[in-house]
Amino acid sequence: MNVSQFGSWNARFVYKYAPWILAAIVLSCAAAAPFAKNLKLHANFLELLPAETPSVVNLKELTSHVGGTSFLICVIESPNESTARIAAERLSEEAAKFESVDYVDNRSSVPAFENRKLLFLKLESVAKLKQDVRDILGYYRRQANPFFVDLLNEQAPEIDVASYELEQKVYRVGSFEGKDKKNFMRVVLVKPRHTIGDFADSRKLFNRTLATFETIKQDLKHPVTLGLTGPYRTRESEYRTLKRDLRWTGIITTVLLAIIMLTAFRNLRCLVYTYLPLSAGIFLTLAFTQIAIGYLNLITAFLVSILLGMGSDYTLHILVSLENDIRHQNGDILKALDQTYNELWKPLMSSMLTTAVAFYAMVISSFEGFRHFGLIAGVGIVISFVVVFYGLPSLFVLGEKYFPAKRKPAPKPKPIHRNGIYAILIACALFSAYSITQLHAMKFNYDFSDLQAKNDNTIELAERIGHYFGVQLNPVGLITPTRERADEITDRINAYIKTKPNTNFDFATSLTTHVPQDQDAKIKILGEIEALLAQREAVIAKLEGTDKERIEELRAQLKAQPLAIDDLPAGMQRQYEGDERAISIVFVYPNDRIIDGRVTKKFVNELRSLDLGPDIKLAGEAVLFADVLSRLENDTPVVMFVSFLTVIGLLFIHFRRPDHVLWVLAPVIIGFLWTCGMAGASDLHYNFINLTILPSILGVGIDSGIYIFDHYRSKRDDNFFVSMQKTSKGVLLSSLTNIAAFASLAFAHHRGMASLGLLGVFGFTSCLLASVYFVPSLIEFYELRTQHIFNRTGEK
Amino acid sequence: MPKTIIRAVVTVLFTWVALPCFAVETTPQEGVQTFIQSIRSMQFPAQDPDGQKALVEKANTYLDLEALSRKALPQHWDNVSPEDRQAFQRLLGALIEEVAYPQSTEFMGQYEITYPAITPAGNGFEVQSIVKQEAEGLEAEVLYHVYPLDGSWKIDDVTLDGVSITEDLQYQFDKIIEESQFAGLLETMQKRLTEARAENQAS
Repeated sequence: MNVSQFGSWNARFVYKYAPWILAAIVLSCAAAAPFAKNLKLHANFLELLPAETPSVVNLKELTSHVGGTSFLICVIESPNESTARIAAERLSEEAAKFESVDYVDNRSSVPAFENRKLLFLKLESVAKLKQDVRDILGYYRRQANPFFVDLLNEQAPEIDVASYELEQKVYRVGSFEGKDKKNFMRVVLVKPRHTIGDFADSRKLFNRTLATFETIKQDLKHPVTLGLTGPYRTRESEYRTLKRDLRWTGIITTVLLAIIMLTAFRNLRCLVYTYLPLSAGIFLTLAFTQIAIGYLNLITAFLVSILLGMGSDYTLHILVSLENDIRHQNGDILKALDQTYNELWKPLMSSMLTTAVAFYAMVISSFEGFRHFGLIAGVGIVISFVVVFYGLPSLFVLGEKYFPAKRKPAPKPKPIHRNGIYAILIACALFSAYSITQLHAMKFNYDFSDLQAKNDNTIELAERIGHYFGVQLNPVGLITPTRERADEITDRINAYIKTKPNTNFDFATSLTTHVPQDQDAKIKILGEIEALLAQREAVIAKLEGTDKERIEELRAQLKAQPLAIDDLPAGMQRQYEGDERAISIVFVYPNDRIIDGRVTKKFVNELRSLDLGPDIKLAGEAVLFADVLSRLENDTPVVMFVSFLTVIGLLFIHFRRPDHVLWVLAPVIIGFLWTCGMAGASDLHYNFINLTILPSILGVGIDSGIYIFDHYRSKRDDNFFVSMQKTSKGVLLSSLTNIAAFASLAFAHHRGMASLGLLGVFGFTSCLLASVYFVPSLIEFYELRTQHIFNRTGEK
Repeated sequence: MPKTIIRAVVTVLFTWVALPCFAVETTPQEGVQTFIQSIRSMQFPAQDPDGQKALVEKANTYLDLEALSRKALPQHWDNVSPEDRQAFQRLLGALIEEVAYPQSTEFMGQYEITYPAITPAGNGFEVQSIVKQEAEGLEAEVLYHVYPLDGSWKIDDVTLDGVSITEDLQYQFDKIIEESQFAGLLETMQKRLTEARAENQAS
């Protein structure tokens, strides 16, 4: 058999062995079922980088020692300070008893700190406190003296807590009361025993915490609310959203495809011909994924919808051709098969190869999101192609043998009038010009909070904590071998911060940071304040209201005993040094929103540039984010370039002429330009999720050009639009199915996925319009102007 | 022990020797008592203007305004002109009448006042008084520094809760003088006096 006979050979093979082919497909699916069933979804950023990446290795080490930097953050708010404090204390007590909780860090109510709060102030602030107490006592003493004549019309001075400065910024986190416009806020950090990827356990913990808080609320007079945030909450929320979106977008895609198919073919059997082989192909792809990789990640989670759309390309081209050919062959199945295979095997193969190669090119990336996507999609396209190439015609053969369909004659193709061609060209030229003006608007969105689920307030709550306490709660951990080394690094970084006004660092802390300095001097001043108060008992006795309360609260703090490092809560010690005390962590806090990828990159790069020593390791989610972004930025141009080059190579093999290759590429180039125009008009930006769809647009966009041009250059003397109308139905339908698959994603709750869907819709729509209208109009325009671009050698 | 004996001897000697020089009160305590009684008898607003005036004048006889003024302006008194000193004393005296006496009347009310101790202090004696403010459950200790002058007892300081009135006044006066000089102090005192008189008339 030579290449020219390949089509006929396949037609005979399928005609003869249709039942066996279908049986083989069913058996393959049965064998693949155990694998496909066990495929899991890992909605974890950790999985987007290779396991040996230093940031991944270090984060795992950090997690193994201290359980990572992640907590469930419970945020309690109330307009009444005492209510917020009591609610936080009770929640801490109850949460510590949960079996799934390792420990609770209630920053607002630590017994070791209870009567030592004033030691955490700066020495100057303690001295100021003494002066303020003197001023208050002096004022009330003067007011109480009947012989005193008030000439100054003094207002009663107050002890203004906000005017006292904490020695270390990290003390702000929940340790002291503060008031933000309406509410007092308290933070309780809950450390679960399970890992962050254990979503079922996380959900149980959230529900139990919320239920416990409802019980606590009932005993409190003033309103109080609980909000949950932190990595445990945000990851679980993201996972839940992704799963829900997967379910719904899969259903919507299936329904949309069914509508398209029924509209195009007007019979139910087309759904069977389309979905059975496609489902088998996707099922086998999922089994392959389980064997090769073991899980789906944040990027590959939506491949089912994408493969449904892209795999349906082959079903549609074959089905359109079979339907058309069986009409022309007066019901002769074998002849129809022969015609279809001979016409389509080459363009289908080229299309499959270009699409697969466009995806495979992503495998060279070190960004696992790209790599897995490329591998699964590339293999999935090949599997889908093989299953559809043999499975669909086999189904067709059996269907026509046992249930022959009555078909109406195909409508005669109509050429488009010359004026129509000019109108199309002008409209397309104008939109191209507009799209050029939008190129500058296409930016990369680094803000990860824009990729989270809609109506998800966990990140907003986390940011509010940052605003409230003036601390961004997403530090990077530096793993150091000893406490002394940790102190040295902390001092070095804090000294660095003082010399760099434009630094991205806010402050660094080690365990020792939580032990106040100058305790002896502060305790001495507190003793002096106590003596002052003791002298003025008579004045204090006459005080009323908040003034008296403040003085009494203050008195409770005046007998502070020195705080040593061993007095620090066990939970806090574990956060920094773990149970074995094999390491000591330094936490470096950023001074800006780490959820913005640009800030993350600058922060991490600056930290790396400090060259702290070979014994220091950076760990934390921020480091992961920075690495993901770097790889994305580095790999995307390379991947696109390699995809493009390889695709061009394949096109050359197929068409052999550079001008033909250019015409095939023209729809893609124009399509990408129009994609930018549509994206710019709708304020859609690139992000690390929707970037993954670009190779798909490249591959599928070229498919249309291959089908159309391959068909056109094989026919002589036909008007382009006339010859195109058979092929264009397949192109149109396949593009519509891709658009439908991505349109369903555009409604996803996960905004990252929604942006992927929207960009897909723009990309495939643009390529469709370019390949079906613009470029053919351009070719016909040149044809009309006497230039014959194609020497067509095929039959009339 | 020796100090206690000395105090006792001095008190006895003073009582036997010096007291006969005082026509009306023979002891510092009696002087303070009369002063306090005068104040307690005052009414605000006054029902009997003439009677009130007599009580005020009587109370004033126990105050040594010049000594009070010197103690309240230790850093400034010697630098101030005699005219300004007179103006200051006049205003201080008027403010005591319009502000301090009404406040004191209210402070002491009809509470029981005891005089547990008299202690020699400086050029005179410190008379300790306890005002038993039963309604508040408090006892206020007020110390009067009295000394003999021209045949009568003079008060130049009153101490409440360990801090003397001259110290409190000094705190204010120093603050005002720092901002607006002595002239500003006189102006402020005049303004306060006008306000106090208006308040007293209104009530």
